[in-house]
Parts: sequence; C-alpha cells; structure tokens
Amino acid sequence: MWRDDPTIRILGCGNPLVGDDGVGIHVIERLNELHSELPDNVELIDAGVCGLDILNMLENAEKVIIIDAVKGAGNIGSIHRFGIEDIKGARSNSVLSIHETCLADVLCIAEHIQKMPEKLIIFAVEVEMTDEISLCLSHKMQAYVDEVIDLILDELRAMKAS
Amino acid sequence: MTRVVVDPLTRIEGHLRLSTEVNENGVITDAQSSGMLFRGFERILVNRDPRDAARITQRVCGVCPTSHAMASGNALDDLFGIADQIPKDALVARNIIQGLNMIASHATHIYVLWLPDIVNPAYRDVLATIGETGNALWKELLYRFAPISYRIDGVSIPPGKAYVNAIKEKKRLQEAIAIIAGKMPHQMSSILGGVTYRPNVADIGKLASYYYEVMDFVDSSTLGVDHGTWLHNTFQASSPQNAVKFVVEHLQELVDKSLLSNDFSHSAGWGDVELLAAFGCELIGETLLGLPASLKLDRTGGYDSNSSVGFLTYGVYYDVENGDGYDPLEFGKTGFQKAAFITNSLEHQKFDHRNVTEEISHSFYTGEDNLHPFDGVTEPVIDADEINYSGNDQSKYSWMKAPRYKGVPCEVGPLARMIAMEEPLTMGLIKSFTDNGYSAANTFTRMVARVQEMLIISEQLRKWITSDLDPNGRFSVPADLNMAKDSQGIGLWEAPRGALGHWVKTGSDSKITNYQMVVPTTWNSSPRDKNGIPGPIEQALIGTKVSAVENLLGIDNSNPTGIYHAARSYDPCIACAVHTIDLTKENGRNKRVFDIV
Repeated sequence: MWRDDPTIRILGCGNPLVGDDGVGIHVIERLNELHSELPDNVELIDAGVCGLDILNMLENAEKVIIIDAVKGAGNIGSIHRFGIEDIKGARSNSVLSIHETCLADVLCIAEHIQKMPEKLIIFAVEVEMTDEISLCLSHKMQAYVDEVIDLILDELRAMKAS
Repeated sequence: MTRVVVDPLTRIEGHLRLSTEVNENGVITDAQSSGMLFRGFERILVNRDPRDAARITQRVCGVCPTSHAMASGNALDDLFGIADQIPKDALVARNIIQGLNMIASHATHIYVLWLPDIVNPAYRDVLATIGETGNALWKELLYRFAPISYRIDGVSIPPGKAYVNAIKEKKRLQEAIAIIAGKMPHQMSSILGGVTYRPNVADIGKLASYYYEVMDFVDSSTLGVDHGTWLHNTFQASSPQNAVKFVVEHLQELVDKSLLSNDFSHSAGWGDVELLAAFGCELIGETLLGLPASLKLDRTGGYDSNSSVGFLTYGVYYDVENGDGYDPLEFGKTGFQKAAFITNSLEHQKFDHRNVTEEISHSFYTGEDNLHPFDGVTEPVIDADEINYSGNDQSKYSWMKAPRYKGVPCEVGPLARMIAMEEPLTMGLIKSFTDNGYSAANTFTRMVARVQEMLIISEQLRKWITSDLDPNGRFSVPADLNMAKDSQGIGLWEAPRGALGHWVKTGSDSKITNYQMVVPTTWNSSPRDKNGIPGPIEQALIGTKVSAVENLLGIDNSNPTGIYHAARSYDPCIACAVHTIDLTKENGRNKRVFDIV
C-alpha cells in the first residue's frame, strides 16, 4: 500500500521468558489487539533481544517509540520517558555480548553509522521480577501495561498533531 | 596459587564461566570451562512434526541461526530420503545464505568481540616501553579498534573506525540475507526439500552489490593491499612457504617505511591484518622482522606438546558443480570445504560421523555415558548438590556435554577448516610455529584463519551469486510427511564457530522421537571426559601466562588478558540471556547516570 505519511515504528524490547523483562513485548502484543484503531502508518515490531539487529529496525522510519524494561531508579511501575539525549550518559556494565548489547549502546552505535529517525522516544518501565523463568508479567506489572499503552496513544496523537 | 575466575566471560555469546588456577609465576596451571545455560531444545523437539525442526532449532541462537537451519535442513533431507534430489539452484541459494552469514559472523567476531581486546590498557603500558613507535602504534590501535562506550582511566574514548565500519557491514549483510531468505536473524527460506524463495534477476544484482560493499570495507580497512593481490599470493600461493614469504616480505616493506615516520595508518599500507601480523605475533614481529616488541598472541592459547587435541570439521557448502542432490553421509567429501579429522600431529583422517560420542561424566546430566548422538539423551541432573565447580575427578561443572571423536577432544572452527582444506597461508604459519617450538594452534593462528576464511568465502560468494545461481532453475522438491515414518537423518554442516551436527529419529507416526544437536562451542568449550582429559579451551588456558605479553610488566590477576585472548579466540557462543536497563548508578553531581546490565 502506498503512503505518503511518515512511518511511526514502535519497538518492544525484552525477553518474555523471564517475567517482567518482557514488558515491552507484552505492550506490543496489546497494541496488536488494538491494531484496527491505530493509524495506518504505525508499525509494531517485537524486537526481542535483538541487540545489534535493532540497527536495521531503526531504518526507514521517521518516528520511533521503544519500550524496554528498566531497573532501580524508582518505584515498580514508574514509566520513564527518555529521548536519545537522556541515555547518552548510559554505558554498558561490560556485559557486552552480542545478545546483550544494551539499548543505549545500540543507539550510540546507530548515531555513528546511520541516519537517525527524526524523533525517538523510549518508554522505560520500572520492573520487578526479571530473574525467574516465567511467561507472565508479575501481578503488579500487568496493571502498568495499560498505562504504557495510554502514554503511547497520547504520543501517537501528539505526533499526528505536530 | 591464586584462583582467577572470569564469570561471565564478556564479549562472547551467552554465559561462559572460566575458572583457573594461576601459580606464583603467573602461569595458568588448571582450568575449568563451564557453560552456564541449559539449552533443552532437544526436549522441546520430541513428539513434534520434524519439518518444524529447521525453524525451531534456529532459535538456539541469534548470531548463527542460519547454520542451525542448514544442519537441520540436511538432517530432514536425509530423514525424508530426498537429499539426492535437492535441485542445484536450491543448494546454491543455501550456500549464498550461509556464506553471507559466515562473513557477517566472522566480521562481528573479529571487530566487535575480539579486536577490542588489543586496546586493553595493559598494551598501552607495554608499547610505551618502546618509546615513540610504541606510542604511535597505541594511538593507531585505539583509533581503529576501540569499542563503543570505552573508557580508560575514566577518559571516554571514541569508538574505533574499523569497529564502527564493521558493524555497518554486519548490518548490511543482514539486509542481504533478508533479500533471498525473508528476514534475518532466523531466516525463513531454507526448508526440507530446498528453499522457499526463487531469487529473481534484481535480487542477484542486489546481492552482487552487497558483495562489492563488503570488499570495499576489506580493502579500506582489513587489508593494506587489494584483496585480489592478497588472496593470489596467499590462498593461491604455489606453496605454504611462498604464502608466508609473501606476507613477511610485504610486512618488511611496511616496517622499513614506517619505523622512521611512525606512520601506521591505512594510507601508509597498514591494514588491520598487517598490524595484527607484525605487532601481534612474536615469531613474525620480533624474530622475523626484528621489531622491538609485540603482543605475543602466538604465546597464548596454545596446546602443550603432549596434548591430544585434534581438529575436526564436517565440511560445509554444497558442491554445486555436481548438479542436483548431495549425499548427507559423504557430505564434505568433494567441494569447497572438506570434512576431516586431523590428529594432534596434523595427520588427516577420513571423517566418519559414527566416531562422534558425547560424555557426561563432568556435565550436569544423568544417564548412560559416551553415546552416539543418534542414541543421545538430554536428562539434566535433579539434585543441585551434584554441581561442583572444583573440577576434581567426580565433579559436574558444566551444562555442556563433552563431545569426543574416537575419544579425542577436538578444536573446531576456522582454523580446523583451514587445516582441512590445506590453505597455504595457514599451513605455512603452522609449519613456522611448530618448527620454532610454538603450538600450531594459538590465539594468533586462530584469528588469522578466521580473517583468511572471511576473505576466501567472499570470493566464493561472488561465484555463487554471479555465475551459479540461475533464477530460472528449480528451487525445491516436494515431500510428504509419510516419507518420514520410522526414519533417521543426519545433518552435518559448519557454523562460523565450527562443526555442527543434528541427528534426528522419527517413529511410526513420523513424529520426532529423538533429536540431538552437537554444536561447535560444546566441542571447544567441553569439560573434562571420564578419563579426566580437559576440553580444548581448558587445555589452551593451561600453560598460558595470565597477564599481557607473558607477564612482561608483572602479574595482574585482575586483568587476565591471557584468559580473555585464549578463550575468545575460539569465538565461543553459548546462548541468550536477559537484559534490562539498571538506573541505580549515580555520578558525583547527583545526576542519574544510566547503567546497563
């Protein structure tokens, strides 16, 4: 289908096999259920733990929203909204395997090797349980997924207006 | 005696724990390599439709899923009895998909996972001892190979030019695979019976342009001479001696020019390989070229002269000169990269898969020991008390089994493949090393073999794309599930990291009754066997000096470069893990600094 409106891509990151780490994936699944209500120019991607392959997923999209899990900065369920400038100070804790290349590193590499999207927003959700094998989000976390969805829908409306 | 444990070993795939004993002279005297993840795919596959195996087994890994798809595809072609009918063009398409992945994986290992090791601050200090030349060289190494987010003494170092450009190439190669295989990682094209996608003329044109982009990177970074010149004088050299002679004379010319100017830039003729060969290697750099210092990578990661470690390769890539079909049991007999078992004294023997067994006496598994993969079982220990990392006679310390060929632990990977195909540069280097009392296999020869293989396959890829692939050819043969009744199949292949085998058996309902994978890192990172013989990485660690340049500036157990170099030179690949962002770190100005775990 031919379109002339800018592509908005939403990437959910994380490993859904270890509980709350998969919150980004759960958000993508929920958005998929709402797909008919989303504008045509919105693409949803389960980016899993793709590491450097996220570089390819940042191509050919004007606006990108990333959802990932975050740990340790506040209360469980807090949702942080970052721009690329906000995570520039981040650095990997030397656990650099290709699978574990962190989002901040990937975005930093992206800035060196490719044209970045005009707008990039990261929703980082404060999570609880990431050290247990589980397909489910922790009880607390399930409620926060709706909040993330609302924030994303607000963001989409703002993008449309701008 | 000090125990030095690296857990996890970073800049590899997945979770590997290395535990070593280091004596008062800084020499590693004992080592245990522990895989810390349970794969379990064998158990997932039981009772499933075998055709799904080529999709499911790819999920073992996001870095070399292609190889699992191919090994599984071969096992299925065999299981359904149609391997002899697979159309030539399907085989060419599979070769292209695998070749692209091999180059991407090697480039990633060389530039992203391994070369950052030689910008370890220990080498700044070592190179500083030789004055201006050393300082100039250190600057050049940092300029090329510094990884992302790198800091030395709190100072942020911009990412290296070669590092960044290699990631660009890896990214492009993922796109290239997706052109004919749907997506990458976890491509969708290679299946039982052939491939799902018929490449068109435009695809072939695009693939050719990707090839040229890779060669641009090779010529502007990896090599200081044109890749054609390099391959003509090494891979196509008239003898191993001549291949080494070409490299040494080429390096001598560069050294003569640069030692006065201290210019080690690419425009002065120094490719990444030339820098590594002249300054990374004691035998070439110091002995043959007379340089004042080197990183002595040839002194790390070698085997003791009494070691029994052999080299194993199953062969890889279909011989498309032969037209349709292939024989899964004689796979690698003809064609480009051949199957072989090579003993520790470099004697070549014909490979026979029946000699492959897996031991579990030091692994977290129970059941019968020393089984061929057709009869293999994957039954984890139930009692956690059985886990014991000490490495003593009884202890179980790894999720990896201990594969053996005729009872011998084997090194697998580019070096084994280059030896099997008697690649002149590799064989010439090995002869120079053994003549001078070095181990044939060491960190340096492993890295050179990987670079050389990347170049050789790039050339082969061009042929597959531009002359062998016929868009009007046939790309699959049909197969019915009934054909897999009470059957068995063998899939032999090579992943970038080495020999990869899948063995599958089915029952009367054609469903899988047993599926076993023996993967490359299980060979390289194997624990001890029932005779107490350590695996290849364990043996390579034992005898290696723990700190930089044979402990030149003293023993530093907190920066065990010897362990890093030796283990990473095998390109270990374990599996996937969890990742989250950790926001707990704060800096002095009370501003949040994000830390990633």
